Amino acid sequence: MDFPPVPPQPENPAEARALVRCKPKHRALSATTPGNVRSRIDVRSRCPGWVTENLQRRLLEDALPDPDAGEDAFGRPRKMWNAVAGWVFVGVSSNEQGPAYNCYPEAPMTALVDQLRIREQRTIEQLLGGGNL
Amino acid sequence: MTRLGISVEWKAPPPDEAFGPEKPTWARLELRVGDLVLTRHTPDDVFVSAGAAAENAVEGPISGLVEWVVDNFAPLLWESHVPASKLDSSRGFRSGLPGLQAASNWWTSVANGGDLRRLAVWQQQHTLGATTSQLAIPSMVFVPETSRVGLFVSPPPSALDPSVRWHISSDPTEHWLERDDLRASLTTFVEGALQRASADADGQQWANWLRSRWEEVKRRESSEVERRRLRFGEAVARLWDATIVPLRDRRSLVEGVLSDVPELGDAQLLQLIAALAPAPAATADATKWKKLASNGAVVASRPYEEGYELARRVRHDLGMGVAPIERVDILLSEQGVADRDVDAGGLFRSACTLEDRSASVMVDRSVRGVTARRVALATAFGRLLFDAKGKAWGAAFGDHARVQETRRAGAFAAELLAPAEIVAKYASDPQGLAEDYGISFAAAQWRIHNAVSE
Repeated sequence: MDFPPVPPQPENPAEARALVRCKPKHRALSATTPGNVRSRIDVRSRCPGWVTENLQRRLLEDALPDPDAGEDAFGRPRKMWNAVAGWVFVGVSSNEQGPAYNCYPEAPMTALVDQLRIREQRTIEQLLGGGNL
Repeated sequence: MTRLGISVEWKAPPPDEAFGPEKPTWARLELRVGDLVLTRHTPDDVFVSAGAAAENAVEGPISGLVEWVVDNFAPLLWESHVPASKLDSSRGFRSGLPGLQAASNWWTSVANGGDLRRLAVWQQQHTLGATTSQLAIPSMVFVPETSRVGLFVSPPPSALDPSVRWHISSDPTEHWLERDDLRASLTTFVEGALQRASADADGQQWANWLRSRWEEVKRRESSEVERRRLRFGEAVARLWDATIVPLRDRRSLVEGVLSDVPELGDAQLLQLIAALAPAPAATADATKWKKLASNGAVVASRPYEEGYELARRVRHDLGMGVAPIERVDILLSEQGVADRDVDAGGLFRSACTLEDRSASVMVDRSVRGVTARRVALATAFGRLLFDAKGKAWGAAFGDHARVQETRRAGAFAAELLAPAEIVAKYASDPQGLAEDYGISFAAAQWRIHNAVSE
């Protein structure tokens, strides 16, 4: 399947390096993971264990701004959407001085639903390969 | 009517868990509707040592929830049209409204979902916290109607791996809220969070930004023009002055029907108004049906029970016993209710109007088959008996009609056409019930199922 072309990279390097938070205590942990106390956030969704930091970064770089969400308190896109390997993710601006997005699995409740339907059929390798968006 | 209770207990966030406005808005949040605690759960975390206790409140940042309320304040209070069937008439008028489970499956289970994009946007605007907050809350979908707001609650999809196990029913539950109460609860929630955040360095800029949006949102929500647009859709709102206002006394009649049909385009609105044109009264005694409606109030705890009860009373008052009704249209005519076929383009199955003391029922030409027409007539008759009042009144029966009124009228029609007293005798013969009482096979099956389970 042909996927939409990769969107152009933002001109502002700072924008390109927005923080992605898939809050570490919510990832599936292994025996070698540094010790953590139980997170005290009660959440509706948690990222699957295969969402590595590299993949998080790529998901955000490749993400589509939600056309209905507008801008955050600092003029940046409030919500960004992407999908891969049967999962849909939303990145929601945390409204901090520097660009940062809380990223978590979500149902595709956005006008971008049709594009996400296509994207969720990609494999992780296809997304990380970078040439097919 | 019940109230939506929103209880917030502010807390200091754990280290490294909160960022920006999440810090001052970290809280324990409890959501209640009446006596039911919607947020009651047990933590489901691999690090919880033996025997985690159930809790009523969830904990985390609520800034995202506050943003959702501000973004969607007007739609959740007023946007009545649902881009899918509200009720599934083939399953006893059970709710067909999608929640987070349906959304996570791309709405493939939604009947008459139509435009996926429109459905996705509607879901986001009507599901509490959707796409702005990761905080664990159930699927809570707000569906406004004319005089109240429905709240449809269900567990969110477990496939997303939540960190809690919910104590709410796995079957969707339905609650009806006063619009003014809901507005007040949500306003208090937003104002409390903004006040808290504005007093904190990490939340000030966010609070200032959100407050300006909030003031604009409140202004728009209070606008009659905006409310009309949300209730009736863009086309009807645009054509309001040219097509609805000139109707004068008939305006409330048309508004009533508009509250029970899907969002209309320009041509559909004109077609609907033409279909609702006044018709001559059926008989000299055009008010006979009113005696059936006014013979004592129907007392029951649920709408469908009210429908059953009134139908039993009608059968009793008319001396019908448990005999099948040969012709529903003749029954209506004998009660002073005119009936006719109209071309409403499938916007409803049937409609009923009351105008200058004359009542009429109209069936859309899209309704095919004798049994379907009988049900459409009987359901509209039920709406008339229960709801008609004033000089000009209208309502319709179809997939987008008001939920409780439709359930009540649908139950009325079911009991009127096939009384429970006789249904038990056909427990193993739905075909016989269908043939003898002039209802569809599916309706007969459902009638038997209900009679057995009640």
